[in-house]
Amino acid sequence: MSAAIQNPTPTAIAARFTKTDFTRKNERRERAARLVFATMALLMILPLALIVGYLFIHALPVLSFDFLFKVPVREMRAGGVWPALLGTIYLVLISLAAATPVGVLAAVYLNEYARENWFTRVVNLAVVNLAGVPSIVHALFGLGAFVVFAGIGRSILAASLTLAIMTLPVIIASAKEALAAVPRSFREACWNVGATRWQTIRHVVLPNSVSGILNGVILQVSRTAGETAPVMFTGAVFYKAIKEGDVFAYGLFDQCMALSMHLFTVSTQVADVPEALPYGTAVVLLGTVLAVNALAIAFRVYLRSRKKW
Amino acid sequence: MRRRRWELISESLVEWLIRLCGVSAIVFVFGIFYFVFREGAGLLWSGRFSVVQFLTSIEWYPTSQSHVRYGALALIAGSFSVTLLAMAIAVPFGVGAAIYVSEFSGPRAKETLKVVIELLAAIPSVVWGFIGLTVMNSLIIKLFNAPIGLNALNGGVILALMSAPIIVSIGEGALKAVPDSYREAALALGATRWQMVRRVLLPAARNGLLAAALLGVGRAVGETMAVLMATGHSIRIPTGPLDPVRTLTATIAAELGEAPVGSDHYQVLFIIGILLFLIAFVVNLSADLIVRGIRGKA
Amino acid sequence: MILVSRQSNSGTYHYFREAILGKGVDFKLGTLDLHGSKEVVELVSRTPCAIGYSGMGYATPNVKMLGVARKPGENAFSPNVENTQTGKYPIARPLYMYTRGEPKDSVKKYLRWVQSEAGQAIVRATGYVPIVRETGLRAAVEQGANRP
Repeated sequence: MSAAIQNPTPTAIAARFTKTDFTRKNERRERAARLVFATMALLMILPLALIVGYLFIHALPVLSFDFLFKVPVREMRAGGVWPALLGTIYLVLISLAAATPVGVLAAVYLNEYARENWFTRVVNLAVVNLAGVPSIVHALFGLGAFVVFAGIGRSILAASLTLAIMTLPVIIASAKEALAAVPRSFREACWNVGATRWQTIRHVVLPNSVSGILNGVILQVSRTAGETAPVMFTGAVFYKAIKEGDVFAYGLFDQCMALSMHLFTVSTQVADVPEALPYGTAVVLLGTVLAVNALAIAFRVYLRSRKKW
Repeated sequence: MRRRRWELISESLVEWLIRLCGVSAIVFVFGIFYFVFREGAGLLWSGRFSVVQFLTSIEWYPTSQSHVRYGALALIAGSFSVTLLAMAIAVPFGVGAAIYVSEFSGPRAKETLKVVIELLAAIPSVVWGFIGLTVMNSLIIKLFNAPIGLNALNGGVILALMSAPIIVSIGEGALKAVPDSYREAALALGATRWQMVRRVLLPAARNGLLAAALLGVGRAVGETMAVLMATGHSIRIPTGPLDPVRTLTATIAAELGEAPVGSDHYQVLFIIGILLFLIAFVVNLSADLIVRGIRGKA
Repeated sequence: MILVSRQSNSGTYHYFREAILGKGVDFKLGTLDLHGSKEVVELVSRTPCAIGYSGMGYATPNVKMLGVARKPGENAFSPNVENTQTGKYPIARPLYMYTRGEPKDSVKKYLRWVQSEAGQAIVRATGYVPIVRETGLRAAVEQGANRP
């Protein structure tokens, strides 16, 4: 929208109209409407600040470097969240390792190879629908398909695959956007010198869209870390004993603890927990998620400033 | 230019791989429906389950020793009431915020708001559930002098905060899609910004905003952990927002852990999953059709 | 009156239903079905006119534990370790540990440790009822754990 229309100067208004009662009433209404909408927008921001602040304050007694790297002791009434943190890291890494290649190639298909016909529309519809499937239905699918049918049993592998299918549609969508942002002229230049379609994609289109794809993947890190339902029945458990600070504690077919499920556990299943402990777990989870998201946003801003076209 | 043979072969292999990944979304959607249906199908066709009872009876007794009943009406009412409350809060506020971001705010405010809304959307559902269990709980008890704070209102407010970001971002996209010429024409005729929004933009963006609201509904209906922790988990038809309720999603999450694989209880939980999948499918399909309707027109 | 119960995935739920409601009887609809014994205690301690059931070990000073009589008119006994061990408090159930076949080696050592003084001290410290040594008292506990 042109600047002149967005922010008309007072003289511009005056030059256009003289103030009558009618316009005065309109301007009052305009100011009121602006105030109302600004308040509505503010009410979106306020909860975030209040929530983060409230959780942090209540979690202070428990937060420390040790909290991250120690294991829960005394039936989870004390100690740290190390097994849950490690489990979440494993789940995130494995599920994104599975989902990213498939998602990117699917986006390549939709953007570079697919023609404008009913089949493509069905594929797009499927992506949208996959995105809208409730997380508990993903959990049921993971249980039915990976744990029971494929015989993998409850394990990190089953949980990661379930999470991968959950994050797939968003990776496809953001990769599609990244690929579409590469100007057509780049592709045409390649075709003109005789490159095949795949050669074009591999050497020109993909490298130029890596940043956009990476952005989408980073955003999914926080979503994967935060989901509880899909892992609750496919591989995450109430408690698992591993050594403090041990980074290689979990195997692919082991069950693991997860931060998200750990928060659910300590806030509803364990007795006599000192009040700060669930808050501390919530802060670790929320902090990780918000930090990763902030990183992705900063990355995106940096990229936009670096773009050469 | 002559290409080497292996180049041609590897090129077509790669293309087939890409095509395969491309249709993966369809495969998975069907796969999800198939597997969920498969696990619940046994009970569905047997004589022990009646769809009528499922949809019309509030008596949910899957573990009864004497008289097993699978009436899911109270659960459906629970999901419905919490979603309704959530939308009643989220749609006006979300659309209002979208209007502010799109039409009334300067560039810096716009960027800040968008970042904040994105961060709000990133909060995991279990953290929301925890907030409902602790913060909202005490707040509702104090504000309304209610005996318990775990009820439909608690779940509704939390869900509203969770689905508002979707409504704002898609709503903002819908408003942005209205051509500038509409705005300029209205302003040139002497309309104030608010008049332009009310009489020109909103009607023009109506379909997109409706789609945004529908996607918010889809998010709310499908939410599990937050409602599991915040709604009080009680089987009843709610008579007011301060009544505790139980949703379809929370029922699955609560009971799946101890249901022996393959048992009737296990299968009926998958049947609830089928119901949820169908609801989400219908909501997403409608949103998609509505959006396509605009593109068809324009 | 606010009725606080547990979800059907809970052993406490099943035991309470069988022991108190009777075989084949179901809970009334409309109870608040919470996730854990701890939540039940927390809710009851905060809410006027609420009543619920939970494990003895989860009790806090903010809730009142009701004494229960086996039959109307008889003496009511409060839930504590002695009343449970002598069978006077009627709502008590033993918790079993299962092994696949006869316990051997480390499994046997573990079970022995659980039954030893050290293990039972932990049981007592976490609010549960230690097992009873003498056969006479054990029979009384088993009798007490069955419904009349």
